[in-house]
Amino acid sequence: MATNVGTPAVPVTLVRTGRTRKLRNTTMRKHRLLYLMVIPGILWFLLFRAIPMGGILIAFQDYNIFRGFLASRWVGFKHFAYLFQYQDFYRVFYNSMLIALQEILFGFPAPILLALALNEVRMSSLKRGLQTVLYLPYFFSWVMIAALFFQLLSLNGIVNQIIVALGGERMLLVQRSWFFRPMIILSGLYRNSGYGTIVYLAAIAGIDPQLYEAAMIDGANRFQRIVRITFPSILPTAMVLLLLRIGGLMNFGFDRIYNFLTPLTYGVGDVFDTYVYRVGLTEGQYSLTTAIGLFQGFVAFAMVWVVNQLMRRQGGGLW
Amino acid sequence: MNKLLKDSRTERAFLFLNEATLALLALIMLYPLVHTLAVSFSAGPAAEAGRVYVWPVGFQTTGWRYVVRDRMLHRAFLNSVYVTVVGVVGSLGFTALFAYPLSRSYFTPRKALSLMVVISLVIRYPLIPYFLSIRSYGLMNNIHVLIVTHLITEFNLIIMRTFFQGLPDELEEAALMEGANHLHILVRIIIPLSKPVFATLALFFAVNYWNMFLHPLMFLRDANLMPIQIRLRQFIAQSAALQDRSGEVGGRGTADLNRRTIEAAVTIFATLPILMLYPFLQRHFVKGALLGSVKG
Repeated sequence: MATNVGTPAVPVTLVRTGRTRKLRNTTMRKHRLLYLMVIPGILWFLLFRAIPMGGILIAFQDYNIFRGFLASRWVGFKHFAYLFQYQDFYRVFYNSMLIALQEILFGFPAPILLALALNEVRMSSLKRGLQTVLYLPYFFSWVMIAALFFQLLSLNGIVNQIIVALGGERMLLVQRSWFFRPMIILSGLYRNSGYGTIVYLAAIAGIDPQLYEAAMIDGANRFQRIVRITFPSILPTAMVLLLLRIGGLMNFGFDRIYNFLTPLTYGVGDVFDTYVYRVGLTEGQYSLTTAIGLFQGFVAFAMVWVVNQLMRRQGGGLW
Repeated sequence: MNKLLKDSRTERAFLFLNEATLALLALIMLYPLVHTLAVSFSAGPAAEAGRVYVWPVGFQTTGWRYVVRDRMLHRAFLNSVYVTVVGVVGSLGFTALFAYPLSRSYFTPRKALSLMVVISLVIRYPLIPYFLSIRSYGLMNNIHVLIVTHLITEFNLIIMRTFFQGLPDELEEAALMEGANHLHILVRIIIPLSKPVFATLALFFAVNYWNMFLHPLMFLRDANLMPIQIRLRQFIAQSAALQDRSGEVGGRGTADLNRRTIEAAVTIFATLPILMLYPFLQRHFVKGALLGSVKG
């Protein structure tokens, strides 16, 4: 935090002589601009965050687009009661949780392993080349990544050619339910694991080289140095990132699922985001899907809260 | 001593294996891109039959000629360019305007406003009320809805504020003494000193605008307004990969026959700006990824 040693705004409130009052007025006038500067930002937050947040009230209405928010009928917890007897809801909830957990299970360790491996590359030109390639997919849109995957997974694509070469049967993997989750996880690994190494590589770069020298003199070989020095050194970073991941569990992202989803894989692939979009936006069931969104928000917030408590115990925490 | 510091035979084997594995991994990750590029320059039937790997088979430019001809595709591309360019400038300016007061320790509402930002970051707005609100503002089917809704990103705002906080106060005190106001200070002193963070955030905003998908899907109806990602998605949705019927290549018309090469060309075309700028941006995004890990 920046200290404000010389700024006159602090002492003037203590002593009120004519001179300081004058000074205060001039500084107030100068700082008044700061107040004006935040107005557009505050308006933005009001329009695009606060009002939509207030709009969750339609979960307690039978919202009708022609009547609008004010004239729609209030129905209390009707939609929530309906929700919990609703088959689709459990399916979507289950899918969301399962995909999110698998994403953590595979997506979290991948950049750590990759960073440890990259760190052992001796030639710096090779290392830079590898990094250049591995970071690239992070900047692709999910539409693009889905396009790339569909090329590989098509009936005559390379994946099917390998399957046939191994004696299997050609199939349209994109439409197979059992392949949906692996495909989502793989696409995530493809896009994110390279980019995720940046933070770990920075943590590794911060390790005191004397630790390695001492270990080498004591006779530690390369594996021992990785396991006993490098890995423990990045563990705190890894813990923070793991907690953040758990906190963001429900914010899985619409684009990623939507672009891989086909009607044949709704059963396994439909998550909150895609379900709310399809049933809410395209079919117009606004109130019900807002109730779902509200539930999703509660789960997400509970996760963030738990994570924050855990982080606080470690001396961190977001608030 | 010398022996101690040298790698043993197993260690050297491990190092080689490690490098080989990583190189293989990098090749696998590069393959989809190279393959798609190769397909885009291949003959339709060869692509359809899966005979193309990393090099075009029966070199043809049918796919790319389609890209050159398709007006709607150009339109979508230009829409995306417009949204990205205006969006990045707008987002940077808007974010700076809000981040600057938040970074000044003598600005009293600083804490309350920062809390607002953090709450907004933690609690995500639900999709439907968000959609209904923005529709009620009359922003439906207006391309600027894509920009207006992304003028601020909580995360980037926090990054910028944190960076501004690190700039010494003395500079602005001197300027205030000489009668400059805060807007001058922001434009003439703070922003020039923050070039690295602006470059990094510009990159993040730009990628975000270029890759935007859900917002145009929700808020735009007119085909003339659609950005490139939506257009690409339309190609993918009717994709050969999704509706493949193997073996029946013979009876199709030429459009059908070249569907895969067209799709590949469109895919590359839609990613061209990112692919072209990527080599120049690496320095910035490495910095950005680290900035992002600094707690706000």
